[in-house]
Amino acid sequence: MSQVVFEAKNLKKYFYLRKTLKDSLQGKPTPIVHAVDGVSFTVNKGEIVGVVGESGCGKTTLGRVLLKLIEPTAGNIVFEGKDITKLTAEQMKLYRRKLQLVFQDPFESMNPRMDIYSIIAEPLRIQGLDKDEAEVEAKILKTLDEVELKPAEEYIYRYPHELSGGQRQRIAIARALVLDPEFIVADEPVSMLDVSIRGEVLNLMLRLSKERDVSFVYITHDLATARHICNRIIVMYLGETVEQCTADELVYSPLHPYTKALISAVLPPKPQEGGVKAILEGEVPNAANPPSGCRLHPRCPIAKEICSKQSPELRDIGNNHLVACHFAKK
Amino acid sequence: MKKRGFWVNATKFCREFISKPQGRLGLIILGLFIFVAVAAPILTPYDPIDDLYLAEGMAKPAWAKVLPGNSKLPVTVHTRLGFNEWQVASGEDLHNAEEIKENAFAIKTTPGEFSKLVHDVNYKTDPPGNFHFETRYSIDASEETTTVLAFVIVDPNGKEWRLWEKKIFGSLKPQDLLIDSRQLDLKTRLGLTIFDEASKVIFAKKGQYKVLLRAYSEGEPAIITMEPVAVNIQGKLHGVLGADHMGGDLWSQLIYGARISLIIGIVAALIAVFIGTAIGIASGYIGGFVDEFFMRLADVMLSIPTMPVLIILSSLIGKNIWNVVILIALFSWTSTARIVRSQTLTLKERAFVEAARASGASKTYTMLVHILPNVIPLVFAALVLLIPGAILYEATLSFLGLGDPTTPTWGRMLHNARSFGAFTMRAWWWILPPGLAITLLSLSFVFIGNTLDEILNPRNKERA
Amino acid sequence: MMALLEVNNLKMYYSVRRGDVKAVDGVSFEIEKGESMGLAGESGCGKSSMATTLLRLLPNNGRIVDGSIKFNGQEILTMPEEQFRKEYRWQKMSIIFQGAMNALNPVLRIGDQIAEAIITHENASKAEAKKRAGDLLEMVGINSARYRNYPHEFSGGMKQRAVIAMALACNPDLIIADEPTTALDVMVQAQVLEAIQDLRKKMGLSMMLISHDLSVIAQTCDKVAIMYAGRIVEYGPAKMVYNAPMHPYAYGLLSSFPDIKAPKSPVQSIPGSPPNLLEPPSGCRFSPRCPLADAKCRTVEPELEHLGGNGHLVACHKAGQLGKVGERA
Repeated sequence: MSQVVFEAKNLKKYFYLRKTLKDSLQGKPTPIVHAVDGVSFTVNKGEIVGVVGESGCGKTTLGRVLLKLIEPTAGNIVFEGKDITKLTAEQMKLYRRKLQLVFQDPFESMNPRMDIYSIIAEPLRIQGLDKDEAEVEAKILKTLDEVELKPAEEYIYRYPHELSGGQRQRIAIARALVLDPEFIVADEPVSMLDVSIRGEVLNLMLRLSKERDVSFVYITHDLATARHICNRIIVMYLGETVEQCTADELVYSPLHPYTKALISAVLPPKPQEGGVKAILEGEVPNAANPPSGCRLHPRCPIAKEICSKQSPELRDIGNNHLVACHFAKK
Repeated sequence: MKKRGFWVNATKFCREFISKPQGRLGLIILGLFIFVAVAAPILTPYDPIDDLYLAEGMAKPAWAKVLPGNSKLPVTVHTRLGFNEWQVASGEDLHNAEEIKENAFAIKTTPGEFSKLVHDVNYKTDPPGNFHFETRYSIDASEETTTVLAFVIVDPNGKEWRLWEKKIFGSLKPQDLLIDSRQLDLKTRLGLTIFDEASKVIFAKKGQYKVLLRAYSEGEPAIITMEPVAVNIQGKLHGVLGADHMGGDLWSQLIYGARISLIIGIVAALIAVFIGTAIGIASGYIGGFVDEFFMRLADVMLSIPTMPVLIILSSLIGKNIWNVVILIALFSWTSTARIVRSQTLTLKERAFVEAARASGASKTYTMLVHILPNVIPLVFAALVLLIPGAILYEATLSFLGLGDPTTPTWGRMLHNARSFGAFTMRAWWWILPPGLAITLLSLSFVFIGNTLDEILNPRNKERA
Repeated sequence: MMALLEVNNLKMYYSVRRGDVKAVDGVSFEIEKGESMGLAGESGCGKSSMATTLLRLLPNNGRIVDGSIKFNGQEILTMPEEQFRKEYRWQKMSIIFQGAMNALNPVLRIGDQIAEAIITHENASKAEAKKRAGDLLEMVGINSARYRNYPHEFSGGMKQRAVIAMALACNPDLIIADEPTTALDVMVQAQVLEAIQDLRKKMGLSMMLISHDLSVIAQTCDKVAIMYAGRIVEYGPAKMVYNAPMHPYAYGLLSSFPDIKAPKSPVQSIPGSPPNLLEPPSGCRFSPRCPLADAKCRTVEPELEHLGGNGHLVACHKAGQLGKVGERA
């Protein structure tokens, strides 16, 4: 019954860096950052898919590529059965109504010179849906109501700097919602917010996905929140998917050593015996020069010889649980 | 309600601006210059370009009289003698007759008798350079009447100098009457050689002089109507700042110069900033080839020595003030373009720009709606900082004689000062005021610009 | 026994155009030798102002209104600045600032920057300082061979360790760490926290850890104080506060941290937002957001009282009523 709304097929995004003079003289190739390197997944209607990883894993780039704000180097993006990878900006404009983005920083994502009304009305104006101003206003009030900013009339002529972080992030969501999108990429929507108000924004996403059948891709570094609002979670490391399965399965039976380390690094909000124990040593290497074979192998506690030579395939080990490790077993 | 945020920001901005001493000083000086520019016609009666021979060439300022050695210098007299200034010595005074123009005067002659209008002058200084009288007169009389009119100066010794005399038959429509000490017929009438200076001869003595208008008619009475007589005796002491080599009023040149300098500075800077902003936003936002092209162009413009090129171009294009303005603008946009471009580059990465793109906004829309309003404050500061540059360029060009000779600018004043010997004469009242005015006006813009930059430039905000 | 640091009724206000921002408004706590205390709270609750007040590094518009800070029994608030700078700041109390790892000078070698900290505060010779800097690096888990590296050659976690080493340079009795791991990824955070734990074990350090992240405090501190709007609302041994919070704010804040191992459930939150510290609400400052608040809460400010036993202090009129609801698994 669940219907696929969005599909990413083997998406790749490489950034070509400038060669230094020394490198050019030595005839070295142009350094390439493999920001996203072959990521595939589907998003069903009304589903929230989490993309989790540390900084530098390519999750933010992935979010931009999904919406074609950055052109992918390779791969396909299919939305509602249509391949939108090759569409021009002009052709994309119609699809932009259905595909939206919510940003990390609620203080950066709004033009400080616009009031709330203009900010939310902007997508309508850009899309030419502002013929009837009364209609626009009604739509804005309805959307503000939907993100639980009540009474809506009180907010529309205020400026972003007059609002708190949580309120701003709701405005950001309202701006994304005003075009009635089918699919929203939320890039770290709560990481800049105070802990006590994160829940409100996350639950708002949860409610929208259930009540309005909006699909979300929730990009985050915070596995704990992802676990509670996502249906499925994709764990990324250095541009690649290492594990992909339902949230419950990921938390209770992680198979990839990186996922395991990530889960153990999430500190519980209460004192525990033995204190903190870091499983993985070192930090995420430079994406311009990733390790050979399995990209985790220099840090992996169970790495064997094969890991440095052969890149593990992302395989389904049953029940749609995908993992990219040579030693993963059900 | 809707504009609340704007007004809050505006008042906050003004308060912040006023709180800075530099900004306050700049505003005060600029305010003064703006007042001078606006009130120019009130502050001076003369036209800076057309009113020549007001005084003897290179006349000193009136107040120089108190300086040693200047006490006997003739003072410029520039006045109009209306009916109140004349005494009717003989003849019937008709000055309140209805048909007579305001302030004009008229007398009715008695045939066979002299009618006289007298104005007394106590002249105690050295002889003036030239004198010049100007009026209009008309005669209303019957066909058979003959009238003889004369304009006479009587010196303290009682000697009559008949400067002008005319015999008229019957009536006469209004006519110009022009008496100038340099006229040849005047000199011959007075029995002088053409090399004599009439004014020196007539005003050689010190004491009571009489200016006399005399009429004599035969036949029936004649009514002689005269408009006020414009008297211009060109002295060696004149006005607030003296006179230039042509007897033009330097004070009025200084006053009107403020107008021109402000207009030139502002218009040139506006054009430059407009070009700079457009190029800056386009380069920064579109990037790629456009960016590469304009920035290399800016590099080229920056590396060209501006002044020599301006000198050559303005001498080729022609001495028109607007040509100069456009030339200056074409060489001043680069700095604005660079500032705007770098700000655009950061704005481009701001999430709200990406949000607009995510909604399908076109490049033009984003540049106009999101980038432009956010670079305006910066542009504003850049504009104010470009003005002094434009003022200085114009002053330099005018000083070199490449400015518009029909426009009263400070640079032109300095040019004339240099060309006609003010420097060798040490006529500092001619040289210093325009120089100081240029400096002060430029400085006021620099002060204001610095303060704006301090408040509006995001770079400075982060530091705070 | 005398506590190492004893803070009593401390008040620190910032004066702004419209009045006083009461950033720290009557805060009392103590830290024993070898103990680590966590100071938790959301942005704007005054926890970072606490750190600057303790080290007397107030900005120009900040002033101490009332209270005392005793270090080893010695009052340090009234001490002349010269004496405080020479004898206390960095020698006895040092601080790891929020984002300090980005404040490393990019053109100086890491080791030299640590050595410089030693030379500035002690009469050490250059060679001696260099040697100690190398030892300090080893102590925080960085190979002393990397003494000659520049900051850009270090990863984020290593820079943060170097900053910790710098704070340890003069063997201080107390380290104040203001959000030491906030900018780091979870995995690196775990590594840095592990390093801090080891240091505390080895050196018997006393520490005050300021963080918005209750999970970080839970893992590293013996004692915790939860701040809200310039005041401490709950204070006590970490186990007691975490397992049975008595203040509704503490309870709400703790519930806002989802436990990854718990069954899937909506993430909790506290409705409303923290008050403006220019004009804090009358009575209990949490009352406008508190589901239990009644008329008394809105008028009478609750005192921090011994309610839970064993040093568990709560400032709430309703502390008893939270009762079983507050008990956490």
